[in-house]
Amino acid sequence: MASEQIKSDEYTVEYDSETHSVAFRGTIRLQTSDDYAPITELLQRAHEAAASTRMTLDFRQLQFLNSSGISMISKFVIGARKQDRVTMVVLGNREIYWQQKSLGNLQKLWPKVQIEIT
Amino acid sequence: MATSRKTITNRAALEERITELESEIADLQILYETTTEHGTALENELMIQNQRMEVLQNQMRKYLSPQLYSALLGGTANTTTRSHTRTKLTVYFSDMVGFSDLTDATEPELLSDLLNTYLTRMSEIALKYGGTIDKFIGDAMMVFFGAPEFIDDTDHARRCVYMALDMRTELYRLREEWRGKGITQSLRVRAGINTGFCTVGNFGSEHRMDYTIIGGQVNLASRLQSVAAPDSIYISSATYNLVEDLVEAHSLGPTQVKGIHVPVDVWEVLGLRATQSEQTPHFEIKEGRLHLRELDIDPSTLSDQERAVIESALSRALVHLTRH
Repeated sequence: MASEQIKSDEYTVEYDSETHSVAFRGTIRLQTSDDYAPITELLQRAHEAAASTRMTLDFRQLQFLNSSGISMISKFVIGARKQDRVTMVVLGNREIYWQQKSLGNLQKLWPKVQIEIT
Repeated sequence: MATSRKTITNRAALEERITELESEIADLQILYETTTEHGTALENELMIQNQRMEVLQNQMRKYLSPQLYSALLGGTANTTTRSHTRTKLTVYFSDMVGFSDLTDATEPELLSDLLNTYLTRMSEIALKYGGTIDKFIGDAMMVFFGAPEFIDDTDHARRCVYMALDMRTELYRLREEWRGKGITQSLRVRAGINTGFCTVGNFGSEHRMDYTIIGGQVNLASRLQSVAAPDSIYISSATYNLVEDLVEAHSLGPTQVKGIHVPVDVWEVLGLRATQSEQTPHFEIKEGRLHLRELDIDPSTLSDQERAVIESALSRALVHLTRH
């Protein structure tokens, strides 16, 4: 499996280039958009590579994401909407208190986003 | 003509730009709302978790001494498994005599009410004097002074002895309550106190730890309790040397206790030495003889202070009477 990973003590962001999915795990609480830049770049690379296929953002094992994090994800979704090249699928976990509301809000930015909260 | 065409083109470009800007504003608005809602969800969860923590803290409070509780919550206590220190402590042990006999003859509800009342009252007294309640083992209690907060050896020993005497007075009061509930068997308590270097810290496994003390000096306090006569408080000479000016005590001489190779000097605490303000006209001990003065009173007319003086005098007389 070809994958690329950003890892710290608290979180992992893993990109699987075969399935065009990016999985977020743990607790992400970086301070500024500069701190988030490596994750933004990884997302953009994944989006480029996905071309006209399906791209998956998997948050099912992400326990915590701060406001800067959701802002970064939202901006990425706006960027993808403008290019309108991929089918964006967002996976969430209903047991994690913030996901239903915050991931659902991504659809307001891009109604084509498919949200699957399980 | 050319100017008019250029104006139309500019206008179309402007309108397109306006549409783009409107779209961006709409995006920004949603982005703002998304981020705010996400922040709110986190804040609300934080509030819920804080409330849960508060409930848990209140539950924890029942199981820990106030000193240990604030040391843990204030982050000054080291909670790693292997954090131990050698500290000079004063250690108190008590055990109830005859409680197991009572368990066969008394209803379980009454028995648990009795035990909980006893331990609650004794714990209140231990906390009043700043003792760290180490543990309850059935009806037995273990309390120590000097950790996690160290003051000085004399202060620890004095507070421990004050506590033991207060506990005994409270036990006498409780007996009256129990008698009223039909428990005719007199529940009596043995107590032992020792001062010495102990190893204090967290002992246990990674899954379950106890903040407790271990060592030979702890064992000695426990042994003194087990050799003590019912309703008496035995203290080692190490403790006696720190409270000599405070208490009336008599020497029991070198005593052989289980698990200690050489006999130890043991003292029995009779009560507090009467200070000028505590001297009472009602009773006096002179050369081992107990002198009780005549008492002819109407309890309903007594002031609180008069009542306290008589109560203290009679309690001390009772201790002297039962022990000699």
